[in-house]
Amino acid sequence: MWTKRKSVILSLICTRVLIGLFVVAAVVLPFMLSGGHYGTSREAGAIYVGMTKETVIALLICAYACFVPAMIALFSLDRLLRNIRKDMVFVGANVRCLRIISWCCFVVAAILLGGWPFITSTLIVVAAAAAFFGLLMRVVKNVIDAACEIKDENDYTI
Amino acid sequence: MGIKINLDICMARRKISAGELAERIGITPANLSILKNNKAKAIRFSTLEALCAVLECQPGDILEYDAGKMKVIVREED
Repeated sequence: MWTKRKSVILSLICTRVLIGLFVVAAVVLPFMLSGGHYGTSREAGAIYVGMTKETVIALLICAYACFVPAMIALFSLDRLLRNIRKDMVFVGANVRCLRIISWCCFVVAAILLGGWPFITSTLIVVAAAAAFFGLLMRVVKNVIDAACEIKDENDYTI
Repeated sequence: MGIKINLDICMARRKISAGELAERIGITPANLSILKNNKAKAIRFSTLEALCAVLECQPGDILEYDAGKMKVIVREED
């Protein structure tokens, strides 16, 4: 039977799998984008038609710049889920995790906005999605913060 | 905070221990400790009633208002 505990464990597993996938992507991405000419001096042949060498380099810079906040956000998410698993839901540590995740989303949005002139205008949509998600996380953080205060008040009502 | 809880005095008068008092009023020793150490943010009337019944006192014997501990914000008027 599906329980809340199993749901949290599933979320934890998905987060850790995603962390692993991100690490693999970080290693494999230059190889994939250069069409198999990783680390050689030959002209890079991109696997995507229409991408110049400069575009590939810009895309790689953007991707690696986004990798750092993305990993920070995923590790914060992992910590948040571990706290929930320990029945620590409305605590200051979780508010901090949500704040970090929201700021990471904003940083990713800023990086993508900076990179779209060099790569593709589709990045504007992705940047907007990242900013929207960051805002969503910020509001959730505010809600949990208020819940922490209410819980604190309740815990100290004898 | 501005309201102090003087449980120790009332408990000493009735010669009752913290553990026994907690058991008789139906709260945990940890919660009683929160009350005694003035860490509580609120007290239910039911708890106050139980305390007064067991300690044979009035709410004013347990609760004391300390004006000196209140934070006062002074605004200068133009």
